[in-house]
Amino acid sequence: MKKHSSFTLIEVLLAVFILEVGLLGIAGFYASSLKIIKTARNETIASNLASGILDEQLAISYDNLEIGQTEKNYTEDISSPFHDWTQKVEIRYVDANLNQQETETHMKKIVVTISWPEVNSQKSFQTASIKAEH
Amino acid sequence: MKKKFQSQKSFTLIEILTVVFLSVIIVAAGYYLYSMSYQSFKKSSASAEVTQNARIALERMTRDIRQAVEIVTVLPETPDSPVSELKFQDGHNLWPGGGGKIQYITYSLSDNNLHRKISHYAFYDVQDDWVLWSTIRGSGSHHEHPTEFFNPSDDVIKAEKITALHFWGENVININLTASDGPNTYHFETKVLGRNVQ
Repeated sequence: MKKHSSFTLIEVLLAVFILEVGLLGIAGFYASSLKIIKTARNETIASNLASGILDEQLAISYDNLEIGQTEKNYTEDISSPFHDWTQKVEIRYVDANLNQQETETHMKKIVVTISWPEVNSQKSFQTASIKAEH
Repeated sequence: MKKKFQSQKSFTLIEILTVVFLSVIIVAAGYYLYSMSYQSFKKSSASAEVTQNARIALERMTRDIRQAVEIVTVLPETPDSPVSELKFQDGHNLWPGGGGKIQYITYSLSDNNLHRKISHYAFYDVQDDWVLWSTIRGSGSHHEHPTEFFNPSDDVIKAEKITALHFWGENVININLTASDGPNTYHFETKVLGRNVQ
């Protein structure tokens, strides 16, 4: 009887093992896609919170906008889904070229940053506007 | 004849069993992957759809409120007793050249749908003359208020899957919105300053 070549058991098992690892790797994509969707949703939430804080600042008259930086919890309400989110408001004088200045320029730039925790990382969203004296 | 038959090569039982065993493993893995894809796709699209609806709802409302000329609804100062409907005077197309008609926009929730209704006020005998909602004609015991009119086609659903909507706050209006796809519920909130409110 003519001897014919064939795969050994070890070779076949190895091939199956590699296939399984590959399939599990693909399964990992789904986990990361769900994570990305969550991040996208949080970005949407954060952009709405940030533009809300910005509108709140824009409602303040030019003179009453205090130069400086304040950082605090978005809300003190523990039951709020955003109690572990933080808001940072930075107000600086800027000149006509939007460069930061230390002295009165009759124009203030308001920068709002919202930060929130995600699995293994801290994300943030920033928005800004200018208020002029008139 | 007999000799030829015996010389035919064939698979042993062990070989067949191995092949069947491996095939089962591969098919099972394939099915697992397929089912996971399907579940993941369903979950992702449902979640993305809810986020999209909430985003559209907030964008539509903030855009209109920023332009509003007058907020008709009386809003509470604190979130303790918020209202779920907001009526204000439309700030678009208000100036000569843009139509110059006085009309009102009302945002409200009905069956988890966000409605945007456009209406106007007029006195019955002069219905082409659109007036402010607060207009009073006559005086004393003979005074009268205008009637609100609206075309049913001007009540449009702008977003779905919105399960709660709350407005509160003076000057800067707070909007709290909850959107849900059934098992998952998400909260959104923002604040809007009506830049043109007089």
